[in-house]
Amino acid sequence: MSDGEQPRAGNVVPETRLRENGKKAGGGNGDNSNDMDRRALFRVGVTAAMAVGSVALGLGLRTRDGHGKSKTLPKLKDHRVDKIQGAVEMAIVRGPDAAANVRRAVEAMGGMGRYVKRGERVVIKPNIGWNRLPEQAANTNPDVVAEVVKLVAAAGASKIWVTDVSVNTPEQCFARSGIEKAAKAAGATVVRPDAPAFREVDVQGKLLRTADILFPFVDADRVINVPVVKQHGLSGATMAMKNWYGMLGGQRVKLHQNIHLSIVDLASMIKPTLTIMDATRILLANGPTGGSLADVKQMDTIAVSSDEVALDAFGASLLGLLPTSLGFIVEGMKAGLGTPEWRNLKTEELGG
Amino acid sequence: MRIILFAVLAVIPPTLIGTLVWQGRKAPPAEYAAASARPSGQEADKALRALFEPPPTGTKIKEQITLYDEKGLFDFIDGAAPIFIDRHFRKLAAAEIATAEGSDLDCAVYDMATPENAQSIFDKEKSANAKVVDGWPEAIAGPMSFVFHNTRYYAKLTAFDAKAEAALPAVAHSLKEKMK
Amino acid sequence: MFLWLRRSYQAVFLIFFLFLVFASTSRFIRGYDVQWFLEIDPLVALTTALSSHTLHHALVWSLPLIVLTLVFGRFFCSWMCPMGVLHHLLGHLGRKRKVLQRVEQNSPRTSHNIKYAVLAVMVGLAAAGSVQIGLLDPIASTWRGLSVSVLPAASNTASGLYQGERHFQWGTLITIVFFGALALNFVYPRFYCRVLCPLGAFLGLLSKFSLFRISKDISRCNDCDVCGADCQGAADPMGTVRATECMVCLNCTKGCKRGGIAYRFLPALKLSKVETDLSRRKWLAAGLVGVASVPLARASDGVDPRPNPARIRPPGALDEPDFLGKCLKCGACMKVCPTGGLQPALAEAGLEGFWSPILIPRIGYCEHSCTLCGQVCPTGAITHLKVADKVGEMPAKPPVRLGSAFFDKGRCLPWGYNTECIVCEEVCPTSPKAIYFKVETITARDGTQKTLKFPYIDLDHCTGCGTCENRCPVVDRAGVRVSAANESRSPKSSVSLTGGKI
Repeated sequence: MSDGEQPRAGNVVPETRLRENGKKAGGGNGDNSNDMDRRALFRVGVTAAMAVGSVALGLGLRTRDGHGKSKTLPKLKDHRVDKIQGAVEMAIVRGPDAAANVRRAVEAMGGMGRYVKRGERVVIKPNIGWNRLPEQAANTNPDVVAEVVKLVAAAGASKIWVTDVSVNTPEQCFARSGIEKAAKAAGATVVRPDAPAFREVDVQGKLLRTADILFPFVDADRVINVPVVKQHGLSGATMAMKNWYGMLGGQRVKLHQNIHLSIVDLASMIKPTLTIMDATRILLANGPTGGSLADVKQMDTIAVSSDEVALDAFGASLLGLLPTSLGFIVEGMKAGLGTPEWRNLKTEELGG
Repeated sequence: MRIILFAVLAVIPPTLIGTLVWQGRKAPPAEYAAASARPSGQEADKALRALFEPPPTGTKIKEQITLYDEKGLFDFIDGAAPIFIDRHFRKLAAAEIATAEGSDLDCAVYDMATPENAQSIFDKEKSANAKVVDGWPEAIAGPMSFVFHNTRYYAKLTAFDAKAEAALPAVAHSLKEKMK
Repeated sequence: MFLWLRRSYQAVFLIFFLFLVFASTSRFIRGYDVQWFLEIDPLVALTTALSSHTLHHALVWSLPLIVLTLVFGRFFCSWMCPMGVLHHLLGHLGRKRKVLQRVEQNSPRTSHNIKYAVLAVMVGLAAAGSVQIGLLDPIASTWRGLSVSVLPAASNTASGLYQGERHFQWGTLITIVFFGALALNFVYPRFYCRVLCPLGAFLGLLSKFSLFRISKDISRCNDCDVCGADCQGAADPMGTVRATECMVCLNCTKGCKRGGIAYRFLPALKLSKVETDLSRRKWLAAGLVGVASVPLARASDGVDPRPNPARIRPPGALDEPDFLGKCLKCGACMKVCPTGGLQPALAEAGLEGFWSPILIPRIGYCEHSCTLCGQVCPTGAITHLKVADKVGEMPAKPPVRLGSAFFDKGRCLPWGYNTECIVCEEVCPTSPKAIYFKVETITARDGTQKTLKFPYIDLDHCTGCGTCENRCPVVDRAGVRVSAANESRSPKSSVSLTGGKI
């Protein structure tokens, strides 16, 4: 039974023999018993430490069945400014220069300084939903957006966000609508609706309990709605109140299962500072996507108010629709969001 | 030494396995039947009546308690019945009671089968600007009325004069204490 | 003497394991902790903790085993492991007769390092969020092999265990893998344990610190090599004993008639070898392969970009990314499901979800008030629901939904063939029923007027249990089918607005 005669197959590792080494070093009973004791203690100590460590780690990570801790979700703020007795409640300005219209309308409403204080953070929400050019009137007029940004900047805002959650590819919507370029040139920060930009918010609406909302709407001090006036296949029209769809992420298409109530729910959840409605070019048919210039009508009008129901009623009249025929206007009135009788408000109309 | 070690090791598996098997034998599979563990009709009726026996502190029953089932509910509250039935309403106990001074109170207690349903009907019926009672979030005090829910019951008390109205919170508390 | 103790341990634990396997059927389960073996498996605890950053409460059972291994070495493999016992028994079949031949068979080989690479890959995968350990873990594999392959075959042949026949889709693959592993014992004994088993590798790493080890008494050794003839772990007892390979089977102590080898407390360090032969570079490489595979695999399959309608998960399952971070594919849920509806997925759940459980309603539906799958799941990938929560109480509390049913109006008898049926409505278990009907009058082929009940689905009440699909008389592809859309475990999947979350 000597070493070299055993047959070896494939990958068998050569044996290690301790005979010679062992005898040389003196085997199990050490020469140096103190050393052996210290080493033994060390080994026991290391093993004990590993044991304690793994048990502690295991117990520390232990959970019962459940789906994780519940976190407190942020809520949306109330972005409104105080009403002033006797102030103008709605301003309608007509004229060939959209930017000038915006300036004059906001001036009539008391000037942007009434709504935005120095140092505040403001989010401006145009309609950038669709991959269309400005003339197709599927999105807000970029000149209008740029002017709003300039006015807000002049009022001393510390941060101006311009954003929307587009339906088509955001990159192309932001570019072809002309809004990204115009807003940036005017000094705003354009926020793309990428996944990390959304926050889960406790909205406590009638139809929605929580929703994923773009962070500027959670963080801003003031919110300005800048919708465009369009016809819409399902809801009849899409104007100020329906523009709030654009702050939502997730599967918002499900809201179409109850369109009018969901529009009002959204318009109740977010309380904007001011709404500047763009009726420079409006989309009369095949909305909200549009496409054909034949569906577009040049109206050269800007309407500004804090009452979104009134603005929507006004917009409906531009589209040739009876305001009370639109379910969301009736429901909005019932929910106490405003009045469709815009003529009853203290209105200032400036012709062109 | 080795004998002791052997003995210890020999004893471990039977003990371990025995414990596991014995524990398992005892416990029935959790809740196979639990979903239907709600009181049967008769027991629930008895429990409902028992809320008024004895009547709430400081009152007495004027007429005998009447129990209404689904059909009877339509007679009692007419068009409002469907929202109760949607929420698995089981029985209604209606009582006319009188306070010590002789003022009349109407008392309706709805057995909604589960606490969730009782909360649901409470939320459904309350008006948008109703405020809950201080210190009792499941109760709302209105003009001449007091409404609350507790466990699987939803109670509506109605008063007909100022004296009875003042007595409502106490009567409601007393009733609430009996609800299990 | 201790050798006989070891043999009785093996017998007792194997019998206990088989008892638990038999007990995990709906008829017998009572409250038995049928997954005890998986709960003590430290690798299950380690990988699920890495991927989910939590340790499911039942898995704390593995902590005592970790401590015991740190002290006593890799005794689990030859004293408790059911796969180990099976392989030990089968190893006898491949055993050569002559001592020298056996010494050679049981010698260490470079291929024995593969299991460390397997371990590193598995740990890497888990760290990146994908638990695949169940594919190679010995306990999960044995459970799966018995549940999905052996027992159904036995039951279908000899009957009695299950109510009806039991079938698992492509179960043959599982059969081949299970028996294949066992057959490897003909190459040399305990091939799987030495070459592939990641649990053995993990316990082996823990054994580096063991306080008790097999070691030689050099003064008594005459180099006869008999100690290595029946070494289960191929731990080279004739040379420096490999502490990471030694399974404490104590066969060497029986072999040596001179008392030259024994299981001692704190033998001298030079008498045992604790390094694995896997180089540090190879460890790192294997780990990185594991970590990198996950984003690579997910870029191709993804977890949710095009959810497969057939990926219907058991009731109480976590949302998909968390589910894949916990499911061991052990087959316990498939085994205990009373209707046999839970089946091993092939492509329905992507590459990561291979052999994870999906409900195939055509084979078996989900019993309305049954929560057995959550009861047996050892890692909490399927949470144990309360029946009251699973069933819900409409309208106040919605039920747990697995998906929703949809009519295939070309195949449904009333819709496609103007023939009376309504079996789906009849068997629908929810209250109120999720399938309702409207009575309509149609003109039959012969011109007469015929009234028929046409079924409709109420999405708000449908739980996706599949009872309708299971009982539909159109036997191959049913006229009403469940798809995973609207499952309540995933907010992104919901179809109906009811529920308040988009």
